[in-house]
Amino acid sequence: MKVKVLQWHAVASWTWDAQDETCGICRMAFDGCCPDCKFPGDDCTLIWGACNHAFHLHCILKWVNSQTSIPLCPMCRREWQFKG
Amino acid sequence: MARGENSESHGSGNVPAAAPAAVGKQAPAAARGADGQSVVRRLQSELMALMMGGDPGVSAFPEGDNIFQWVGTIDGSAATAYEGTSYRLALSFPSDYPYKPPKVKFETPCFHPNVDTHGNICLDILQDKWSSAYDVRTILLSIQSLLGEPNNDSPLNTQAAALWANQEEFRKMVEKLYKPA
Amino acid sequence: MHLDDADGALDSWARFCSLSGELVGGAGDLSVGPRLAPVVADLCARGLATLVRDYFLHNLEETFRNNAVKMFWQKFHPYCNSSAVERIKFCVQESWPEDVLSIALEDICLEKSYQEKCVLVLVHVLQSYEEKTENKLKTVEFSSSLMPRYQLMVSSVLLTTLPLSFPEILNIYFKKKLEELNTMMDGSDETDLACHELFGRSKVSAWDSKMDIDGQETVISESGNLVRNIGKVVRDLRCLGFTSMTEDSYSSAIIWLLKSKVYELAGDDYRIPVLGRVKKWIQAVPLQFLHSLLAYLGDSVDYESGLSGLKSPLASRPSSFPGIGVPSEALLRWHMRLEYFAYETLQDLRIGKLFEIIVDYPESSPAIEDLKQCLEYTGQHSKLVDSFISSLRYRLLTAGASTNDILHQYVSTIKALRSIDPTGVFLEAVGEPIRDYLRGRKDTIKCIVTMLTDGSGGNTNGSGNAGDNLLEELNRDAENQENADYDDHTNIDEKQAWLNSESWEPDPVEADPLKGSRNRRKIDILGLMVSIIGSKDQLVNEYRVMLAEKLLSKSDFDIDSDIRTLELLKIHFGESSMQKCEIMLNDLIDSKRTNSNIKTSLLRTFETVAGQEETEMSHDVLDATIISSNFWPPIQTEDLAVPASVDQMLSDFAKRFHQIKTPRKLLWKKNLGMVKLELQFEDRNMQFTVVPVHAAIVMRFQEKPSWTSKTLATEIGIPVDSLNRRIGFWTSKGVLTESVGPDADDHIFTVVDSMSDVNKNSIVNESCEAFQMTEDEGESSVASVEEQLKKEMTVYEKFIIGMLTNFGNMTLDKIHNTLKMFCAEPSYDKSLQQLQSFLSGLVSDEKLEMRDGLYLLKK
Repeated sequence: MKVKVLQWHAVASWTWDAQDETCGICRMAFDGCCPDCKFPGDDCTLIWGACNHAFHLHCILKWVNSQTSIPLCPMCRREWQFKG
Repeated sequence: MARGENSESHGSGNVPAAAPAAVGKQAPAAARGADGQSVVRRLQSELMALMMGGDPGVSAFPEGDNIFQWVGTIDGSAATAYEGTSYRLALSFPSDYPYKPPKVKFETPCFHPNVDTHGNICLDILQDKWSSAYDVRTILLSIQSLLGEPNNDSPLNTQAAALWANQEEFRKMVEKLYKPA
Repeated sequence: MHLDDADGALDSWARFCSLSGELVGGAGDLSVGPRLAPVVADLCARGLATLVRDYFLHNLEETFRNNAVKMFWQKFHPYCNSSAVERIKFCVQESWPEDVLSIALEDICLEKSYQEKCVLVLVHVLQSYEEKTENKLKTVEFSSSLMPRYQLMVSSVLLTTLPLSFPEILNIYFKKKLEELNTMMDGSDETDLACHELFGRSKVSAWDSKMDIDGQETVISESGNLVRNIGKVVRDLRCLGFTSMTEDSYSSAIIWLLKSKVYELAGDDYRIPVLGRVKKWIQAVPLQFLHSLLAYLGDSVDYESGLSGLKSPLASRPSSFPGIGVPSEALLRWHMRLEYFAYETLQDLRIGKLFEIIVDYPESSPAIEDLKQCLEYTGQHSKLVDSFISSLRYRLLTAGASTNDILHQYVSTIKALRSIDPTGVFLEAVGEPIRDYLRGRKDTIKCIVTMLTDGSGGNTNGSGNAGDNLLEELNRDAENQENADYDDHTNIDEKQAWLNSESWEPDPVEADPLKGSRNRRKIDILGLMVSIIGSKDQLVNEYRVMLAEKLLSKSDFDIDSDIRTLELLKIHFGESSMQKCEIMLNDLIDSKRTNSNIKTSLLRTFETVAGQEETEMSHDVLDATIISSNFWPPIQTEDLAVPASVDQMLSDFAKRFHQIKTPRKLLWKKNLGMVKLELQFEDRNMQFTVVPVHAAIVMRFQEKPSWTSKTLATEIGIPVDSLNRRIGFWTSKGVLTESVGPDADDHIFTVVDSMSDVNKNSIVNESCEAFQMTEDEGESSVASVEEQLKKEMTVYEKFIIGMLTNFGNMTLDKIHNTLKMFCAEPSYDKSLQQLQSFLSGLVSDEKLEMRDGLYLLKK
């Protein structure tokens, strides 16, 4: 007997594969979306800092903009720089 | 330390009359704008995490129908002068939380070098060292450890700072001024 | 005159006796009058007027009793003396009792009218005496009271000798006559109708209408004769003093006929309105009859006066009836009485069959409309409620009825009753037992969601568009409604109010239905469905679970109908409630796009490495649904080792995904999905659509034709008992055979490569059965709602402990409200009672204690 696969319709979930489960700023899941977004994934991306801490892009931008002096990473207090 | 900013909040521990009521899981008051919803959601997820986490000795819960106003409870840690005590705190969250820290003060009188007679607390993470990564849980845990490890360099209560060296006497003062809720 | 002359008196008396005997017993000879006058005058002068009158009346009575009355009753003896069975024989005779009755009445009335003449003779004699004498006072009475006394005598003689079955005979008579009249009018009605049908609704030509009128006239004159005959009988009966007995008889005959007419017209056909025809018939038959009868009897003289002071439902109707003109008051009373009876009869008939009528809804809406009008007239709504509830209990709310049937009947009930009772108060009373019953069934939520969202199961009775679901229908209704009463601004507000309301609560049964008829609440079918479930969150959650299951077992990305359903759900439940479902559907749309991107790039890459086609699977066969798992219900994952070739495909796909969407990665849920296979045997090919685990099992049999269940289970990485359960699919299809292995608990499965008893090269598409299979096995890729419920309760417990830690103590209400306010995920939707029993559980677990109505932490 031979088996010919005509169609294999598989199921997968995607993940950002960040070390942490949730964003340290908004407390929403990385694989979810920030409170201001309706759809996860392409619409609400993650961003890593030079210190390797990840946040929702929208969250870290708000944090950076709210700081009067040099912005620090909310997690490690090192100067915040986007990972190149 | 930003003492001036702290004393500004004297007597504002209770819900200000103008604060928007009934924020709960309903839509935020229109005045709060689009940001209101994200603050509510962050506070809700903090509440959920706090309830499910079950850290011993610290707890908090929104008061009345306003999720921007919480009541906190801290138990004094064992092997400190505060062992066996339990302190009520009031936490008030700004509309740009977590980008700005909440205002936190003791509701139960607390004899401590960094707490004044009105319950104001001098703690760096609640002022210039604030990070949006902090939350109610870390604040409460920080205050709990502050009880056992005061910063005597910049006291709000100089009498307490002076007495700290004598732990036996200090303990007596803590008990004398302690009025549980 | 010798007034004190006893002999003279005796003499006068004797002469009076003989003369009166001559008069009464005589064969119509009234000439004794002049001779009687002096005798009577003499006797009266002697003060014997009373004696004269009494003797005379007695004489008449004797004669009347012995001759006329005896003869009269004798005519009815054959009927009265026979048994019940034999009486039926009389009834079937066409002319019975008409002939007997009219002859008997004629005879006795003839006799009576002769006697009346005799009475008049004496009256005249007395009158002329009275005129002559001065002492009028005493004698006036005698002349004028004689006739009434005579009439009284006649009726009392007849009534005292009346046979018991005489009223029955009268009743039969009237029934028969009315039926005759009815057939006569019916015939005319039919020709009338036939005429209209023949010429449609266009104008009937003059010639035709003339014919019509002619035909009508014959009928009227025929019926006129009939009514005249009846009138004669009635008049004779009244003349004999049977006035009320007669009225009772024809009244009950009319009522009886009306009742049978209503039954005949109404029948078991609910698709035609009946009420109009009944009302038309009342005017055509019983009212025509009564009109003619009253006119004949001379009773209906008060043509004009009858209308004043009659404020009734009739007042709004035209006060002239066809062929009658302005009705008399008596006739108007009759009309009201008959209509009321007709309404009540039809109403009772329809209420008795309401269950069937609702099953047939909306085809049966004419019957519902009739019932509505009847109830408006009689006001007996409570009859409907009681009767319908008991038929529901008896026929629907039983173990034998499927939840789907109950729900469909419930929806039909709502639709049908809302037209009868737009306020929804009676519907509320009727719906409560159904809702209570449904709450006790486990599959209720599922059935409701299916009914709302699934096109195929939504509408079984064929109305509406095919493939329509209830939600679609409700939406269309709402749109129509809004178009219909565009000026009713409350509509929009109501919808908004509904969205805002946390939990829907029905009005109490006692609510006054008359109150605020202007701003009456529209009956919200969806709201009623939600109220069975408890909350909209539960409904939405169930929908999400079902949607997830549906989407995960798809083999394509066609979700147009689901998107449409989601849009409708958003209208009713608000956008934020449906957010997760929207993301799920969005995942499917994204997956479709991502798939085509990845597949084009993969195919391009592998084309360059040509040569390894044939044996290798093409990446073309792989499709993947890529989900944002945070927004899907918890998904049951299970380890599964798919064949290496498939695994290679999956990892190629995942690699490419990572390249396109970096740094995102794919995590395969290998047990989920759908696989289309073709099994190629020596002598046949078979196609199957199966779940991946079935595919993984059967594909192993390419490597070697026999496997023991233990080794096979290890190979594909699932437990042995699970393997044994699933492999049954292939043995049942005849692809594998099972035999006992070396161990008792190990089985050997062998592929059946050639099968002589199966048609060669048959291609079987088993996809339907495969789907059936997965359902039968109860394999669900998504965690059930019950499992999620258990989780919820632990969350509530933590919240309760959290709030008590900070507030010290709280009342039940306060805990309830606080949970409502702050418990967002899962949102708190329990009732106060449910919370109370949950708290009592925590108290008995010694986690809480309760003092003076306050809950606090147990220290």
